[in-house]
Amino acid sequence: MKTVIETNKLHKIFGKGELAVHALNDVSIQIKEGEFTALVGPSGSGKTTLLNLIGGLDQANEGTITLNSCDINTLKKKEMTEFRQKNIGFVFQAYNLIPVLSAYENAEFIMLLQGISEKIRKKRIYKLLKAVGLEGKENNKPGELSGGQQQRVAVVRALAAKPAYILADEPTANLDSKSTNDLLDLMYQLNQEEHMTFVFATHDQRVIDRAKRVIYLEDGKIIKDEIR
Amino acid sequence: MKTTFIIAWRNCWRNALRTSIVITAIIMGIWSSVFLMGFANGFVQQRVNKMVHLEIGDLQIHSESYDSDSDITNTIKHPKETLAILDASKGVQSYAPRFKTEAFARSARGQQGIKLLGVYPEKEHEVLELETRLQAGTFLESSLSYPILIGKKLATELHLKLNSKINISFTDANVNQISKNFKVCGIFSAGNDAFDGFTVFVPIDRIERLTGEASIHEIIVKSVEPSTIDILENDLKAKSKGNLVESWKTRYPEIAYGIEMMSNTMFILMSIIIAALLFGLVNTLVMSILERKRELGILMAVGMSRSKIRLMILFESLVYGLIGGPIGVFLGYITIQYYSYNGFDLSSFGEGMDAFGYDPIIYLYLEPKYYLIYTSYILIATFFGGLYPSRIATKLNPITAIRSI
Repeated sequence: MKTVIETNKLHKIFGKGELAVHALNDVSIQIKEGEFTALVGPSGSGKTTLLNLIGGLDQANEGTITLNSCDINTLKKKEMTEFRQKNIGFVFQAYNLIPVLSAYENAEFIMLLQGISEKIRKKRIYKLLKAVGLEGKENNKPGELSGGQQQRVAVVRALAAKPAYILADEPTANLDSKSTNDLLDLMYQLNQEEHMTFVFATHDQRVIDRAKRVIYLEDGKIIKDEIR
Repeated sequence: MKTTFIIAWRNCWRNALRTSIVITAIIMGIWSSVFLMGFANGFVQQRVNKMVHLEIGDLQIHSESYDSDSDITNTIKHPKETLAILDASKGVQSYAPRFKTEAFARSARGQQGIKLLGVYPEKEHEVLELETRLQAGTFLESSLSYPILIGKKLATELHLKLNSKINISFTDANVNQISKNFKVCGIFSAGNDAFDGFTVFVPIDRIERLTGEASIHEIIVKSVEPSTIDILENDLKAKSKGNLVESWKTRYPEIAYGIEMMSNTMFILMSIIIAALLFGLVNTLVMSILERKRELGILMAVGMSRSKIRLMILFESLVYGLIGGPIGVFLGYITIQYYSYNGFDLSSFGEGMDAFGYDPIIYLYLEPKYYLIYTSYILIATFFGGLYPSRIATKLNPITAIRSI
């Protein structure tokens, strides 16, 4: 398998002077295509920061990030936005759906930005909504869905446009056990069937147990890299 | 684009009460400014129309030196040629020559300096509409040997009524004192005290009978197309040697200037109203953006470009203008239509408006093109109103925005 995510000596510092916090300190990782990886560590260990840097939402102070042979540090803002849209699917802890759009429209949103035809959009979204057990909830607004259901819509949104990478930040933090298991089953299935690369930032043991690779972070440094 | 607009539209209605208040404010602001424009326009137009149709006509012709020397001997130069030019001109609908001199009116109860006009009644009818403002009697159509038409104001001052005797005295071209008793055959009210109190009309043939001749001092002209009187003015000026041809705009520049001033003032007032509305709109949009920073961060994170975010906010701003603008303009139109037929009655607090030539009942009027101009103006203004909020939105950092509560 080829390496699709590579970070080299990443440093990220928040704040200045005496208040400066070294969130990431010389982090170098390589993630191969189709891996199901968990970034694990206590709060403040740097896992979300690393995820944000890989997703191009933030910029490192030092070091390089290469996604599928593309050094994302060299991309301009507009190019980065386009790159994210085409290659990266995000799942956030707080679901972060667009409240004025229905479940279907939320899921459809990124595909629309990509200009994918309506026929393909419909087919793909209905299939995914069915897979996550949200059949019949297409027209419900986020406010009319439970937390678990909202997170499943967020996953569908992330997966719908078939991105190369899914970056998930504490996706199960607000879910009960059943919802967590259902969600992980779905992600694992997609990982197997569509060879999407998944990277989770989590300290949920249920996610860690299902991961094929676990990278442990502490104080901004990698302390252990476990491949199962 | 469609999705961006859908999100923008739904964003507007997330807080329906707030949006409704902003739109209502826009509607009220636009309605009031359109109404004000219609009112001011009607007010001034009515004054101009009254002056043109009742007092002075579209154009006037005098001897070149008449304004500096209005002596009875200062008559129209080459009167026959001048009248022939008017007859031949396609832009002239009708004209009325007048004898005009300063005179003195005396009744049993008082006396007053006046302007005596010797007219051809039938020609006056073709140019002016003073006969429509008769309060009593006729417009010189009388079997009386010396009939006179006077204004209501003069009738009040000299305590005159129909068939009252009034003595008119003036000096003729040979410096003979002419004094003759006339009988009031009609009383008019042009709604302008300055005109009603100092202008009297007598048939020109009676002047001829009294002085032996009836010179022409003034010709009033009605144009075929009032909107092109400037062209007609220049045309007649070029042809009429020795005489001064002036449109009402040239002869009474203060009126023309007043119209322009009123129009500019109203435009400034409208701009102030719209600017005030825009501040409200910008404030609402900024509040709305700050409330959904997190959501905007998500949109950016998942790949919505900053230009689309900007477009979305501009759409939101335009929604307010697209709803509020046309409704406000339409309400303004309805109001103006209503008062253009029924008149806006200011008589209860417009005492003395007659003294300045204004009617106490104002018939609102606004040229149709202005409705379109206002609607476009609102849309352009709301578009610009969205620029600052959209700039705030696009300057957000996705990470910071997503973390915000």
